[in-house]
Amino acid sequence: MAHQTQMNTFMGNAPMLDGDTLQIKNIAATLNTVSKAASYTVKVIDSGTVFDTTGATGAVTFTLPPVANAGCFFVFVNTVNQNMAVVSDPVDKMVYDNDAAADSLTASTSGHKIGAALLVVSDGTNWLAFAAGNGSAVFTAAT
Amino acid sequence: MPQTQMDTYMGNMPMLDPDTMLLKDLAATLRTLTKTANYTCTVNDSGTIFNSTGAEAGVTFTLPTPAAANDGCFYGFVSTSATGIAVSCADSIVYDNSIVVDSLTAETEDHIIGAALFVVSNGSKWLIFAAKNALAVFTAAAA
Repeated sequence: MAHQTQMNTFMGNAPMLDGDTLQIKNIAATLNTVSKAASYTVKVIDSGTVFDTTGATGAVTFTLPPVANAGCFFVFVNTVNQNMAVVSDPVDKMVYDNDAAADSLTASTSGHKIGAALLVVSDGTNWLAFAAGNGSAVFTAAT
Repeated sequence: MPQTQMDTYMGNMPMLDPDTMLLKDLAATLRTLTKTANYTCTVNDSGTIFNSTGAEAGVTFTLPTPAAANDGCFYGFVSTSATGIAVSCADSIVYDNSIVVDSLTAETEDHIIGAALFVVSNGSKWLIFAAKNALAVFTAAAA
C-alpha cells in the first residue's frame, strides 16, 4: 500500500486541522464531477459528487443509496432537455415542501428542465433537499 | 508534528494538489444533528446540517454574532417538523434587500416542512442561500 510521506507547505503553513476545533480551516477544494447519460444508482462512496446529465437522450433517474448513511451528500444538475429524477430507495425518505415522506423529486416542467439543480444530504433518517432557485427551474415531488 | 503516512482509498491517495494546494475531487460526508429545542450554534458546529425532527414546537437556531473568529463558518438548516424553524441573529442577516435582518422563519402554513437554507459568515454578516423547495419559504423579520 502506498503512503503519502510528505505534505507541502503553503505560504509557510502546513495544511492541518485546527487543534482546538478539529476543523479544516479555510478549506479550498474542488468537487468530484460526473456526467451520467443514463439512469444511475448513486453509491455511498460518491458522496460529495456533483452529477450532471450531459449526453442523455432520455430521462435520467438517480436512485439514492440507503438513507442510513448520515452525512452523505450529492448534487444533481440537469444539463439536458430531458426529465431528471432523484429517487429515494426505499421510498418515503425525502423532505420537501410540506412533505416529510416524499418519494422522488423530478425536473419535468417543460421549458425549465435544463438548469434544475438539487443538493441532498442524508441525516441518517431522511434525505434533506435543497433545491436551487435557478430561475423558474423547479422540481415536482412524488409521494 | 508532521504526518508521516496516509492510506490509499480505491487506489488513490488523498492529497493536496501541490500546485494549487486544493483538495482535489473532494469526497466527504457532512455532519448532521437533530434539535428539538432551541439551540445556539457554535463555531465548532461549522459544516453541520441541522434538522428539527421530533420537535413539537418551533425551534430557533441562534447564530453566533458574525466576527473574525467565525469568518467562513457555515451551517445548513432544514425544517423537518410541521412546527417549523427560525434562524436568528440580530441585525446580521443578509436577505432580500436588507443587510440587517434579525431572523428568518419557516412559518407559512402548509409549506413549513422542507424549508431549507444555508448560512455562511463573512466575518461581519450572515450570508443566506435559501433553497427554493417548491413553495417552502422563509419569512424575514427586522427590527
